[in-house]
Amino acid sequence: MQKLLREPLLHFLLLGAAIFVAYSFVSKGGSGEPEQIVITQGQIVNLAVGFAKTWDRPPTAEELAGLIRDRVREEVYYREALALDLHKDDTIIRRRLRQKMEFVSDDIAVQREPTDAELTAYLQAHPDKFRVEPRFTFRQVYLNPQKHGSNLAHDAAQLLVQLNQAGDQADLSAMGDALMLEPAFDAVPTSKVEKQFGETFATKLGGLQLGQWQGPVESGYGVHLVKVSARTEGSLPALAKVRGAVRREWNNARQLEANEKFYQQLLKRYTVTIEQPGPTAQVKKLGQAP
Amino acid sequence: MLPPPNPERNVYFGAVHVHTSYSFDAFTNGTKTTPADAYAWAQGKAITSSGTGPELKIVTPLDFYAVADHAEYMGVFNQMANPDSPLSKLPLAKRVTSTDGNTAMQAFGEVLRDVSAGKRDPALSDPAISRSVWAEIVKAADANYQPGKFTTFAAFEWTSNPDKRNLHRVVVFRDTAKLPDLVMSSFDSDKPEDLWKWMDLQRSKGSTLLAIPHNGNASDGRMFELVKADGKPIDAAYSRTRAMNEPLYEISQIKGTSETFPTLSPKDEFAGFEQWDYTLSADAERPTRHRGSFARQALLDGLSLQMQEKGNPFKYGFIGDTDTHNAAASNEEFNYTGKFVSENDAKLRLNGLKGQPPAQVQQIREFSSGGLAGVWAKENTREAIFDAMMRKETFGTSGPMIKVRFFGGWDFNAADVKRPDFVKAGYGRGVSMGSDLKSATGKAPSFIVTAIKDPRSGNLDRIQIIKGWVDAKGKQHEKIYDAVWSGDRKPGKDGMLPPVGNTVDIAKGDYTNSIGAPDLATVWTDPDFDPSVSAFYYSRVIEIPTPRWSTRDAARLGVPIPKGLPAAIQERAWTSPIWYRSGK
Repeated sequence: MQKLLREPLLHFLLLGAAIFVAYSFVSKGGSGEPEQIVITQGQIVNLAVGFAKTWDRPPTAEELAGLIRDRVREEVYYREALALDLHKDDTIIRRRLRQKMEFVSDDIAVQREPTDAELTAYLQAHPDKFRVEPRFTFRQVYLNPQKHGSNLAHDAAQLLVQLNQAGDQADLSAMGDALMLEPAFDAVPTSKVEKQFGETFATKLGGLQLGQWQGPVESGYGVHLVKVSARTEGSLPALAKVRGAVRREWNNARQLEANEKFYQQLLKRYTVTIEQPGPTAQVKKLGQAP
Repeated sequence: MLPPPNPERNVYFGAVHVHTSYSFDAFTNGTKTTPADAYAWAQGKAITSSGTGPELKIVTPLDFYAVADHAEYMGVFNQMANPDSPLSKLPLAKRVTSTDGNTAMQAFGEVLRDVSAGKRDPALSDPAISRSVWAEIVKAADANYQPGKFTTFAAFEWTSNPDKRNLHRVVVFRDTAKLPDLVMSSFDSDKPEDLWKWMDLQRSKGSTLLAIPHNGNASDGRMFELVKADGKPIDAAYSRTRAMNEPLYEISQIKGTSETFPTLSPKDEFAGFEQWDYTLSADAERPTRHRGSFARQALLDGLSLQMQEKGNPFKYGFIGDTDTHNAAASNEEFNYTGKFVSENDAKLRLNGLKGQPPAQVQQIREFSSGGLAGVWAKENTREAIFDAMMRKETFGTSGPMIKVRFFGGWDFNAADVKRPDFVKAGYGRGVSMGSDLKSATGKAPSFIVTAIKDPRSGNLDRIQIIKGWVDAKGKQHEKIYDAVWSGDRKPGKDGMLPPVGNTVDIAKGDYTNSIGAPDLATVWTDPDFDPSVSAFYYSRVIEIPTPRWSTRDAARLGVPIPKGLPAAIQERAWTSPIWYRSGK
């Protein structure tokens, strides 16, 4: 018997029997009149339109019959599932319905054209979103730590002296160790420096004095000697230069605001009671959104 | 203003296989992300997936990104166009156009109440609110496109799963000027041939698009099978259609790498990398067939079919991609946040949810971090990146931003690669990755290959050339050549190069770059060339061992690494192949 109780087939049969009992209990069609399924003209048009949108032609009579047969099958299962309350407390269905409401709410959040005054105000209220990055013009010579071992600091110091003596005409490709990176970078934004060399390197670059070889500066490749010849600081651009981006952010912010208002409005129709866990089951009433 | 295009091409990194809550399986798993969140993440902004969970933020922002949500159920909101749906009856038109958002909200609230009370006004119907998720996705792509700086695409995933066998394809559009109102889902058809027909239909209506299959590893031999959907053998027309629609294959992503499999490539010591050996069934079912599931075998089968005058349906270039369902590609191994929401939490991705079956927990542990697509294009625009994908001037990586160049020609010599302008020689006297070698001279082909490391990842161990060919008797061969490597290692008597070493500290979940090289470059000439035999060549760049995400998580949490996971992995990049076709 013990063994029998562990038998998956038995579990399956018992489950099947349970569903069947539940089914005949709730199903109106169990013994009385059969339920009506009417596939309306509107639904048929909708099936045909859906097909045509994908294939750019109406379905053939046979294809349409297939779509309708499938729709009938879906309807039968759908109704039986509802009768069994299979839709209740189903996370997937709840989330799906919530998502659909959010879509609907998105739709009615009216998108109107903002005025320049509104955009300027937004730009000034959120400078970090739109700030133009600092840019660097610099040259670099690379040293591979594996090649220099414990002499790295010494070799770097020597090379630094050479570089500062050699002046701007020096052929950098003949100095330091080979690495497949350009020796010169012209007015590159910080993000590009970070992408190419890593964050620490980019941060260090901001602190270097202009016009002389300095270093060593560490990167993701090893160390570099660097000469920064120009640096433009970051700044907040005029609206005309970033209008598109500001408009997008302004719209997003407005949409979020509208969705929140919508939710608050729906929430007003409910009294929300959240029972606190614990022996005395304290009840906390909330009028507004939790 | 666009910077001037670079005729020698720049490298751009990105992903075109990104899911958000608009994918049915993503939202059922609890993500609340939208396409707008996805584009924000790729540009370096912090987002959350569940609304309350940990922040997701990339360290090095990407150059291009495309949300490709599942087509299935995307059209569900079109019921608003269904005359029988109460939503189509909503009398919103006037109030929606009110400039006061609050009025519109209030109006809508009332209407909803009427609808739920069974009161409707059939006289009014409002096509203005009929819309589709697809339109929403396209809108987000357009809003975030900044030519020269950040590129986005309209895209979707066609999710064909016959019998839980993965035949999925991501479909990418070149621009959004001409797009279909609705995309094709696997409910319309789960046969790839029908997808290509649908793509052709879109072309006739003015769209330009391509499809990228992925996860052959989860197809149980179906992805690259040698028969058509009707079970008949592949013919030349099928090959032509497939190759035209599908220039690229996604070689690595969260659900594993599908370059090759150890039993298919027993002599490839690096073949066992980040395998995810499951079908898409929910109960950790293992595939029974590996042949027909992996890219290298497909390239070989392509050559065989070509010899039989059946064309080459599998002339694939490579990209890597993500398949995240969190909007965040999670390509940085050191910054892994998982495929689904629960995996945002290190404990949960390592140990699973309470009560989750152990086999399923193991499947999640075996998820790889996201891969990455590398593209050589003249500028960062939709047109330039899409066109690079069409001509297969692309490579895939397992996540890091390794930059690799690969040119094939007939007269490259060792000096070429030493010149700083070697790229000129590459394009001028040869062809780039993804192309065919032309005008054979009878001489062996030579290849320029260079790679520079990702400054945030491991140094490079070696670059390999992988050659595949089919001999006159029809037998398939593959051979792996170490072309250039770090340090002063010498191949042993068996021809094998000794391993580079391993600096991974398991307890700390860290490593040092004290071995390997920051860059590698060489000119490699095929020592076994036979001009009468067609062949393909692609290069594979291998990093030194670095800690797998699970090792970093275990160290952070102070727990041992779960069984069955490698502590260290050697991340890598795969270039698109260069093909040689014999005159015979």
